[in-house]
Amino acid sequence: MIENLDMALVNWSRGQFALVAFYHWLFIPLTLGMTYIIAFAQTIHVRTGNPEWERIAKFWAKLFGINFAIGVGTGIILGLEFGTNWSNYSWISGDIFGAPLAAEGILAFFLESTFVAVMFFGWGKVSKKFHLVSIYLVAFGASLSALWILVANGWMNYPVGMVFNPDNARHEMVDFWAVLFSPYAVNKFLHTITSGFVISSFFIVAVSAWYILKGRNLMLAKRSMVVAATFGLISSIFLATTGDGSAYWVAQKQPAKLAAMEGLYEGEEGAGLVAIGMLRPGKEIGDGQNAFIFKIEIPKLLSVLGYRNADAFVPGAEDLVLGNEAQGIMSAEEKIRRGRLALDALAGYKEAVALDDEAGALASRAVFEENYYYMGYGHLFDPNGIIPNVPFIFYSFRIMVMLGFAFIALFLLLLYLTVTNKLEENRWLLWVGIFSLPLAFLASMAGWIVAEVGRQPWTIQGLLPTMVSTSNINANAVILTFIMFAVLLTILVLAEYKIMLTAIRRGPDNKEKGGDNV
Amino acid sequence: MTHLSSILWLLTWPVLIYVGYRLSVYMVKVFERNNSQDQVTD
Repeated sequence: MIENLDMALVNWSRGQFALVAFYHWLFIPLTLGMTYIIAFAQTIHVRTGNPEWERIAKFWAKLFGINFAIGVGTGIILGLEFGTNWSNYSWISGDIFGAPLAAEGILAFFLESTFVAVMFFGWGKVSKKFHLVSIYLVAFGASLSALWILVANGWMNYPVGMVFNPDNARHEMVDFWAVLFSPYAVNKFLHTITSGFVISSFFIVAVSAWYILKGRNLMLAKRSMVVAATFGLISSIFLATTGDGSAYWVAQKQPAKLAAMEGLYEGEEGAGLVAIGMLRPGKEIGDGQNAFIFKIEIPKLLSVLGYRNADAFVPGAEDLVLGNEAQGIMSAEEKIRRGRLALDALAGYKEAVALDDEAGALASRAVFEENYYYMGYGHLFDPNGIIPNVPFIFYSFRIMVMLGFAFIALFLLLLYLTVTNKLEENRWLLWVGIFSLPLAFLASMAGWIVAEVGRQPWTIQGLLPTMVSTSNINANAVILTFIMFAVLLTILVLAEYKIMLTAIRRGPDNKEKGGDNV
Repeated sequence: MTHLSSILWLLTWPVLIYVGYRLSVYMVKVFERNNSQDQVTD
């Protein structure tokens, strides 16, 4: 157990990471999805020879380019924060966490950043086929970057393929493939990139809708709308499918997160999913109050989603904190006790090794290995602390899910009205198309809140609490850099948006306008 | 193959891209057909 924790340092470090991650995620979804839509348009051009599709590809590539650089910059800051603000975490888990980050740099980012130059500057300078291949390589490079980052993130949620070495007190990788192909990580990757595809589709929908409302660039806007709404539709359906996978893996590996997502305090067999509900403010574990002021529940759906069994028991926050003997769930207090045994045994093992006390080392190591699984709990003070912020997670989850399903219907409607040439008659829908872009970002940010705040109090699920993951630095230094990042990134974002809006207002290069048919 | 199910699940990503492209091309054709009689220009 670490004494004299500086919670200001922990909270400001978390805040700073969340701030930069927020700005990072304003740009990355467009990098992930727009490249594919640009590639689709350019593929149609290469296959049909219609220059209009090249004009479409060029226009969206210009907007993509404005977005690309800041996405990279904010990503670099996040990577560096693992060293500056989270060095204890990096020390303990760098062997595992560093590998996918290095793979991201070598295998994905170089691919993406090399061919992005050909994509931006290669129009008319290299063969059309090579240029098209370059666009696809940028698109797949961006997705591969996301894969490696989310493999690292997936491992933090479901640590696999490693052992803890008591000699150096670090996690060490023993099975790279288990880390890479962790079902949690693979599902997280698919869920995250498809959310990027949906946001990118809405970006193109919003800009196209604005052009149609203004009566400008009509054919470019409608053709772009067709491709974006189609890609957005199948991506949003796939997003719901991977969301189902996420719910399953959260239920299996992070029951406290699931309990918070559902506002479930008392576990039950055949648990229902709360479709709509309002939590009772001030509800606390074990106070006997109903957790909801009202709720509309879909019977048994939570058991089905979480355990693929309509009658399965879903543990609630009270089962996880107070324990439930009938269901074989250990109380948090007992886990904390065992965790402290593990930490004491680890300290005893190190001392015995230093004194060449072989028998003492063996005895301590045996106690440590017996209780290792609970080691992270040994750092906790409050059993209730194993449950993340319930209202924050509960409402964020509902915002994400409700908007996600609404997006499927919206893409379907936009696609139908565009291909039947009735979109201009429904101006209200064009306005909905414009406002769908911030809503898509809202849904995505809500998803990240569920994923990351929902993992609290852990940096590495069950093994390392957030409060002992920070660097041993002064909280004032973190506050200063927080303010610095907040100011600088806000200025950068405003500048980027101004450039983007100017480029949108200016529109595509009409000198290159081609034919109207595919 | 311990990780077969994960690998298969991962492969749905390029499949999604391919289906996205094919479906986009089909929808563009439907759009162009519906627009051929009532041509709108920029």
